[in-house]
Amino acid sequence: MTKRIIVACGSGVASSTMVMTRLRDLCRQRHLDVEFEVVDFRSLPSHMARADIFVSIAPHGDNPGAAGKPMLNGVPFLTGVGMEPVMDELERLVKGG
Amino acid sequence: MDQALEVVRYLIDLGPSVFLPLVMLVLGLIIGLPFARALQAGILLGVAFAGVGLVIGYIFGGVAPAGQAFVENTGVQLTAFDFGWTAAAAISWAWPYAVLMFPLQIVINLVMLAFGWTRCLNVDMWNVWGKIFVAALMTYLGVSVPVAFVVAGLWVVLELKSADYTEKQVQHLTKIPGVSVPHLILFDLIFLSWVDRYILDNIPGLNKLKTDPQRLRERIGIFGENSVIGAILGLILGLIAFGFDAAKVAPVVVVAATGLVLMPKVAALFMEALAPIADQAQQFMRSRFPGRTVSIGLDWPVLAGVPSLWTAAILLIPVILALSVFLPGNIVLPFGSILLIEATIGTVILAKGDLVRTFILGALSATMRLLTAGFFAVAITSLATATGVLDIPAEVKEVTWLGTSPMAWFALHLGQLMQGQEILVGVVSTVVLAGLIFLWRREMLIREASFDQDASGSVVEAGTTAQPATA
Repeated sequence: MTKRIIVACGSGVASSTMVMTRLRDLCRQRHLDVEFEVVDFRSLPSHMARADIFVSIAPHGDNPGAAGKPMLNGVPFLTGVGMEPVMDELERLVKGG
Repeated sequence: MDQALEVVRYLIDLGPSVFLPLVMLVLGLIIGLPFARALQAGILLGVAFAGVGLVIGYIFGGVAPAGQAFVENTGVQLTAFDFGWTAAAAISWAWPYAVLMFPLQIVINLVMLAFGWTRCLNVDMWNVWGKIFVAALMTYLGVSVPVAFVVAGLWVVLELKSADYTEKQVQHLTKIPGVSVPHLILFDLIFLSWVDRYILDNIPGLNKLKTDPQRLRERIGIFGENSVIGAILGLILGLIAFGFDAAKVAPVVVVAATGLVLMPKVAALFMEALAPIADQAQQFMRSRFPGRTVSIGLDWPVLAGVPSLWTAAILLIPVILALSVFLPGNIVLPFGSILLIEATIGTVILAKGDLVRTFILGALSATMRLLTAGFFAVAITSLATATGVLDIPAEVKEVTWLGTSPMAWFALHLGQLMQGQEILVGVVSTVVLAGLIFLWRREMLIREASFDQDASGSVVEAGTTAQPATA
């Protein structure tokens, strides 16, 4: 089943799209069945209900509505450093159920 | 040669949604993208320009008549329509010299790193548009293109220093190690750090006002969403413009809500188109500094987890609406940037995350931005028209961006001074700016040093593994 990944940033424009394009390429390389949505932080609670995985670029901050969903650190996809461990974790989550 | 120029002119005349995809395709091939990838990026860029033009045109069609009736009914001359940062970014990317800002920013950054003049490696290639915007505006107010680039270069330097001066404060607020935020928005601290230090610190009781911004944010709920903010804004505007005429008010509500929802969606296409270029630029920069301890400069949303940033921006909406009517000299009709996060992103750092202080400092920032947006309305309208991104209808006298930083005013006068024009204003404003920078630098160094003493534990190691969210 296709997993739905939500990426959020300030306005759902720049950072989240940057993270999403990198994730999308890496997921293709790993043949993961996923779809993406970029949203702004304020509308997280209304989008989170339909999310399987949440990628946050503020992993230690207040992520409204994210409670109970698996959350991954999106910062490596902005800096370009340390993406592989997060991708391993993502792959485990996608294939795990 | 003449024929080549003829061809270029012909292509430019076809408009940005035709011309810039071709530039993107060529640029993509130059930096080594596969043809298919470069072509796709080019097409997406064209789609982005066409999309922004479409949505703004739709907003103008539905909201501009209400804005006109608002002016006629109230006599308040709000003639400059705020089209939001997404449109400001679009017209900046469409400026003919825009692409030159990439190498300028990258080279300045690498030189400063090599000499140890900054710790920040800025990998955020999106916000290059902020410098393009400042430079482009200057050229529509009589500053030559080379001088505009010199000033933009100084802004790049100042932006990197600003990232250095806020590095530990940002890491403390976000709990993300190794990052900083080189962003023009943080220039608010240059204007406001002395206010925080010498005025707010001396107001008795201010520090005792304790609020819970996270709980407040939760209570705000759907009122923080673009659709709801747009609908309410449309309702207020429609009621003032047309009275209780539901047939006229309802469409304004729908158009306003649609506009605020769709603008970021089409603007995201710009980022998708630019992502391959940004990728290459990032890799290029990182490969120059392997293993060096630097801070990675990122876009401001790493601060998005600080609840006061959002709560204060939402609480500022009625303040900005009131200011737009009562602030003497204001001509800006707030719309696209009504949720003025530009006023809270920098100030929330200054306020150390405190809601009341972010709100007070944010109101000051919003006031300055209203006046600056009014001042630059004519130049912004010229840029929007000349680049061909927007068709501005007759009902809209001027367009502007409410988020325009007061630093743009200082940039303009510095540029004019360099050309020997407006010397008196230029000298005075530059001296004032130097004084502000002196106070700001001193305050920032004190704050940064305070983190050195209790560095252990103040910055949490960023986990890369999945963890249940605790929010």
